Amino acid sequence: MSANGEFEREPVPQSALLGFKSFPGMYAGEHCAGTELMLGPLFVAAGVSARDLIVGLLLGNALAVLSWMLLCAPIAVRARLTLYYQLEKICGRKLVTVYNIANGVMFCFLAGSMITVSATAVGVMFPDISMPTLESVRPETFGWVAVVLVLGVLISVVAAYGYDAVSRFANIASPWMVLVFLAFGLIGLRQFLNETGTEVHSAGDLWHMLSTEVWTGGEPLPGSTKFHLAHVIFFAWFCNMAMHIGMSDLSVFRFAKHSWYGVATASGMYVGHFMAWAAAAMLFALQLHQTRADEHLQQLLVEHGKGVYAAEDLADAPLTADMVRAGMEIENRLVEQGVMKEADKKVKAPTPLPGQLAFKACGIAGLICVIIAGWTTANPTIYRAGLAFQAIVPRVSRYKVTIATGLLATVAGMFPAIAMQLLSFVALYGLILMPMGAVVFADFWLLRKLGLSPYYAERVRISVNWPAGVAWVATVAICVGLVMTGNPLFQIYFVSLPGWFIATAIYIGLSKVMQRPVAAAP
Amino acid sequence: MLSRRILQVASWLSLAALIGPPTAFLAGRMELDAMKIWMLVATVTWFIVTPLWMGREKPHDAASEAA
Repeated sequence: MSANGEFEREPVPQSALLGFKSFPGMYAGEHCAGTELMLGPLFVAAGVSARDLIVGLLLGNALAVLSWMLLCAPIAVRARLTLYYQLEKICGRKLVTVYNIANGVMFCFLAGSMITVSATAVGVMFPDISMPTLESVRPETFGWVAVVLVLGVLISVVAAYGYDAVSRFANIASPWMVLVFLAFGLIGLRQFLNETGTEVHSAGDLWHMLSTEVWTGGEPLPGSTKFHLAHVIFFAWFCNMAMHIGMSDLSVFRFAKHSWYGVATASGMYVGHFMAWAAAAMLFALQLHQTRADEHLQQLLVEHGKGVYAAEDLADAPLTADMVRAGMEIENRLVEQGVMKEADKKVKAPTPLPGQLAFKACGIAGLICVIIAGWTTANPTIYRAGLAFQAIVPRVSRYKVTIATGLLATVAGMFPAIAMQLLSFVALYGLILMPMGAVVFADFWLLRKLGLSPYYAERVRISVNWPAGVAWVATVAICVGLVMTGNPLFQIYFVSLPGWFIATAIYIGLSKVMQRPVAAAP
Repeated sequence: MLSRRILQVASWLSLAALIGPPTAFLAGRMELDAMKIWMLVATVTWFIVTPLWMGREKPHDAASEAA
């Protein structure tokens, strides 16, 4: 048995296998996290309609669960190895180290966005500190930098010295947090009923209000990509791509008795990526519904809006993406004409700040939820990133590496662009780690059938298996190239699907060309 | 063992107290401010009581390990 009982470099033995009930709770807790408070509102900013959101999340999450059940878990219960050890056998030690760096960097950015989410809660307590907007890219005020720095350093120190305690605290917080997310939805729904004067007597009444008042579709807010049904399906399917198709959760399901335990991920998908996203989305939709055009925007729209907007209509109408967009266009026009200075532009898109949304709905309990959700998810993310980086500098202590990693995540958290563009970042994160999942899939199921040798690096004792390395880098390059063509079919949200087939084909093709005959495996 | 069970019941009651007020608010039977106070009380109760039992060994587990 391994020294630490984690079986990091050997198959998990029968005696250490876990029953089904070990998995649903873990997934429900892991996927009801700080980022859900950002992702739900970003769907609203993307102009999603009620039908696209509900149907898209139902289908996309089902596809994600099937990916765990049919791609990841079957390999996990047969090989019973961690992803890293299995990749080392396939790719060689040096290539796995490069993969670890990529993984660690992505984890750092993800943890940074979680620190950003927590920092928005601190902003509620100190209203003088200016919070970032939907279009913010860089840190803009000293106050924001200071808040993120203090939070980030605290989280990093705790991740380095108190990881176990925070893990235990995260487990304790998990059932409470799920119910606070549910409360966000219930409260948002009641407030929408009050705002619109709707009386619900049937499911039809409720659906009518959701589709005409809450998630109305239409144009996205400036700076966001328009989301249709396909976007929601693919986002829900691929947002955890690194874990299912990318095979990161081999490390989890190697402990499962049967591959159908993959169905346990449905708890995380439908609690976190359905209920929590919908609830958080409802809070931001409510914020938009309650926001009115300020005097400056009203004046711009009435005086320069070519008669589209009337003053009496604007006073009581909820702020829409169309109004914001029109206001920005008018300002740009006025700047071009020399009537207005660039510095005087004031129209900004409403920003989803999780702290403010949660505080308005649930008071201090909501604020505590935002801080804990961001903190408890940033903590293991920084810890995992630290472990990934430590593979490169094994002589440096884990504490030092974790603190350095946490500081890197803190710097990333100061840049609001990652959190404000989290939909795109999460899709990119999946894309970068996905090709190695395709390599593992092809190596496990296809290579032997094609007369090739699986676990090639281990068998011929090489540190870099070039077919795997080229499959990874070339797939990411091809997919990024496709995204840059601007073709709507190849948006970042969709491109990982053809990417998986490209990675599989490159790995098999190059293995066919480059593999030398190897003695049959015992 | 009995005290552990009592603590567990207190935890589950605090969760009920957490989600009950928003449900009452949805039904139009509670004001927003009162609901927020109840949620805070339930939150504090959950975080005081639950760490006393969740994640700790049950007495018989500890006994069997010691043996």
